[in-house]
This record gives sequence, structure tokens and C-alpha cells, in this order.
Amino acid sequence: MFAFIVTRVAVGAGLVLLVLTLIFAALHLVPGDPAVLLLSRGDGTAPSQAAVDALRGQLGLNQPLVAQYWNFLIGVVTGDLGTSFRTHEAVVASIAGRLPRTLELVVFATLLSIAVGIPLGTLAARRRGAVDTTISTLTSIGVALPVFVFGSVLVLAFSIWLGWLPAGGFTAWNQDPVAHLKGLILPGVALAVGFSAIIARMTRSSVQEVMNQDWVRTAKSFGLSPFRVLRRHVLRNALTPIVTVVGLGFGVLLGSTVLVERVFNYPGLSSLLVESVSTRDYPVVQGIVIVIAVMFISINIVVDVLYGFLDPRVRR
Amino acid sequence: MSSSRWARALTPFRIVVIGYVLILVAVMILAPVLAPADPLAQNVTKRLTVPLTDGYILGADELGRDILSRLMYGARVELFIALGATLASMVLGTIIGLLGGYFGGLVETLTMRVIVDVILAFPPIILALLAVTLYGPGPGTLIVVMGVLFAPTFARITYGQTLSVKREEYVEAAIAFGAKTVTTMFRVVLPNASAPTIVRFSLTVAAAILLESGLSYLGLGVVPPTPSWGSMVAQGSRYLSSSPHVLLVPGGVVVLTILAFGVLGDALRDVLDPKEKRRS
Repeated sequence: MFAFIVTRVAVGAGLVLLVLTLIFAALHLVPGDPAVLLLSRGDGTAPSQAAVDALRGQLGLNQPLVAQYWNFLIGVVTGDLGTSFRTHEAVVASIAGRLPRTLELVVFATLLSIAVGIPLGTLAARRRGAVDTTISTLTSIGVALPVFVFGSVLVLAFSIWLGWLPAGGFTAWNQDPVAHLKGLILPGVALAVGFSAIIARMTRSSVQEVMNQDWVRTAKSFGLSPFRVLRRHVLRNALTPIVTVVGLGFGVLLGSTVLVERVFNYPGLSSLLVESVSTRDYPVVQGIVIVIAVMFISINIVVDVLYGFLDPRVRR
Repeated sequence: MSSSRWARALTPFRIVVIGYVLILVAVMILAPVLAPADPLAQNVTKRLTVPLTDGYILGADELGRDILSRLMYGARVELFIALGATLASMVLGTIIGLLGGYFGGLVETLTMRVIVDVILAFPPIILALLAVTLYGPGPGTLIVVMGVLFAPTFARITYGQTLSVKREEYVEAAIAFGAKTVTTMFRVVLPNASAPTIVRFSLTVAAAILLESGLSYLGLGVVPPTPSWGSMVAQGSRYLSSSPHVLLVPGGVVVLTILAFGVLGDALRDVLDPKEKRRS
């Protein structure tokens, strides 16, 4: 098991290095001068030479490429991701201020998706006919719903028409815990609809497969109650593929927050990302992309290790 | 291909959906002819007109522009980008997967582990945003970026297919007859490995529309005044309480279109690739 974890982490570290190289290359393989590119307003006018020179100095573009690459890697390892063009704040500090809010939203949406998706998928697998068809249709729609459309419809229904929940914004926990939680509900549900549909689908096919196994038939023929068979013999064995989907989906959710935070005016990491893309604040964009990619890879490692615990056959 | 398989694949619901997709394609080509009005013509006195009044079939937006006409021109941009990106990702992914599957060894590591795994290490929209920061928004950026983003799916499909097809006797026969490597790869292996790719094509178009409309919603995809479905939803969100139709109409079209390409993919799978496990 230990060797398995070490191998998995090593592969993950290699992937992180490749990802960092890609991000570094994205800026430097651009045709022309990256400083000119970042300063161009897209209207054909050339930026002033002074501004270009200043930016070249700030980004270290005057150094040899190898030195730049090395400094970039060292910066990432030591937690120095540069400073924002716009606010001149350290990128790491800006990210640290926003990240917890986005993580809170994603964790809430993940728990909600598991709570809805697994029972729904199990139900669809156990009942053929109308129940299964209804759930399958719902999951097909859920997967196809763009979060920004569904989120807007939620705002229309629950805050404009019914007036039950705030249309957006953010209240700090220590200011007003109830308002804080209320503000999480609509964005959380908007994020969860697609994810719970994916989990339900996976659960359905996984449970269906396990239910056809010999040991389930044996358990049934021993006269165990259907609930006990489901809990002890089916769900346990059906869980491994579901864990994988949940792990992968966590990363997809991180991506979806980009849209959801805009819909609900939620001041998280993703809205900082969108603002920075709009103002072409490259150091901040780069920093956030690095943080998200590293989180995404780490989660996949955790999922693989978890998989190893749940299903010892994988460890080989 | 037996006729019963067609009969099973083409349920009445799917025929309706395929009809919708065909109409979309027609609109994409014929938008200037079919659109009842100029998509950019403003008429402030008619702003936020509700659907089915004053000749505005789907209503007017906050500048009094005809929503139906904007949707039609938007379909043009939307489908052009989605089809272009899907085509690009299919070509790119197929080549990557074919190389990896056919040669194995170091080539396999480079293609299937390095290239594919690095692209998959990002949530798609995040990598798209990085590219938009560097290259600026617009159809060209979107097609290239989504072409790269969706390539891994095609690479994995072709890789798997190639692995199983390359051991078939007809491939060995082609090699024994002295066919060149490139000929064997593209003329013998590829055609026999392509059915799941065609099925995936339709699903990728749906994914591309989803991503493109999201980026346009953020104002980082297709830039106004060019009408696009995503930016129409974004505009509508500002008038949500007084005139919800400005958001609901384009939003509904986005949802229907994504669903339609998903259903089309299911139908294609049932016809072309019945062995493939059902998605649901």
C-alpha cells in the first residue's frame, strides 16, 4: 500500500511539473513579444515602448529563457506567484483571501450532489420501468443544463418571484451566520444539479452491475432483508466507480464556479479569475490557474489512493 | 446495417430532435434570408417588448432588437465555433490516439500520458480562460482552444480502438503485403476504429456549445455586438425581474440545443456502434 501511495504521488508530482511547464510555455511560445501581447488592447494600436520595457522588467522577460523557467519554478515552490498588474498586491495573498469561499461552495455542492445522486441512482437501478425512465430522463436533462442558465432561473424563481433567498452576494460567517448559509443555497444547488445527475447515472449502472453478481444472489437466497443486501453487499461493492466520479467531478465543479460566481455575484476565487481575465491581469490569472490545476491533480491522487483502500486489486 | 437497428434507433422523439438539429443547420446557413429583422437594428421605443406582440415573435431585448433574429445569427456563430472546434479536436485527438496505439512504447507515453494527461489536469473552462487572457477573445481563439481541450476524449477512443484493431488479421495481412506504415495506419486501422469517434462527435458538439456559451456569458467568448447565445443570456440577466423573457428565450434555446446534440449522439450510437455500453 505504501509503495502504491509513493508511486501515485510521484506520478502526480511529475504531472504538476508538466502542467507548470505548459503554463510557462503558454506565455513564452506566443508569437511576438509577450509583453506587447499582454499590453495590447485588441484595437490595433501598439503599446508605448516605455510600458513594454517596464513590463518586460517586471516579468523578468529580459533574462535568458532557462533562467526565467527556473525562477518561475522556484517561485511556485516557495509560494511566490508574482504581483498583480492591477492592485500590486501579492498574487498569493489575493488567492488566499478568495479560495476558502470557493472551496466552501464546492464542498457544499459536492455533499449535496452525493446526497441526491446516490439515492436517486440506486432507486433507478432497483426499479425498472417508469421510475427508471423518469430518473434517466431527469439525469439527461441535468447533465445538459448550463449552470448559468439554470442559476438564473433559480434566481428568478426563488428570489425574485418567491423572495425566499437572496439573489446573490456574500455575507461573512462571523457577521451573520444565517445570511451566510442562505447565500450558499442557490449557488450550491446550481452547481449540484449537473453533478448529482452524473453521480446518479454512475450509481445506477454500478449498482445494476453488482446486483447481477453471484454473491448478491447468494445473499438474497440466504433470506437477508433487501435493505441489508443493498447496504452490505451491493452498495459497498458499487462504491468504487462512484468515488472516482466524485473525485473527477470535484474538479469540474471548480471549473463551473467560474460561471456560478458570476451569476450570483459571489466574491470567490473564480470571480477574481474572471475579473483578472477581463483586465488581462496575467500574473493573477496564471497564479489561479496553477492553484486550481494543482488542487485538481491532488484530488485525483487522493481518489486513486482511496480507490486502493476500497479495492485492493488496484494496488498492484 | 440492418433495417431493424435503424427502426430501433429512430424513435419518434429522436426524429423530432433530428428535425430540430436540421433546422438549426438550415438557420446557420440561411440566417440572413430567414431572419425577420436586422439583428443589430435598435428600436428603443420597442425595448423589452414581450414575445408575440408587435411582430416580435420572441420579443425584443433592452435595445429593442428582435430576439428571434439575434438567435438566428447567434446560431450561426455558435454552430460555426462548435463544429469547427469539434472537427479540430477530432482530427487532433485521432492522430494522437492513432500514433499512441499503433506505435506503443515511447510514443505511447508521450501522447497518451504526457499530452493527454496534461490537458486533462485542468478543468476545461480554466484552461480556456488562460488562453483568452493571452490571445484575446474571439471565434479563432475559441476554436483552437476547444480543439485542444476536447482532443483527449477522441485520443482515448481512437487509442483503445487502435489497440484492438491492430491485432486483427487484415491489418497483419496489409503489413505482410508490404503496405507502408502511414497507409496501414490511416487506410486500414483508422476506418475500422472510427465508429465510436462519430458517436463522440455529436456529444462533443454539445460540450462545445456548453463551454462556448459559458465563455460568451462571461463576456470572454464571442464579443458584442456579434450576437451570441451566451451574451444574450448575460444581457437578459440584468432585466430578470421586469422582463424575464430576455433571458429565458436564449437560455431555453441553449438548453434545447445541447440536449438535442446529446440525443443525436445516442441515436448515432445505436445505429453505428450497438456494442458500446449505453451512456446512462
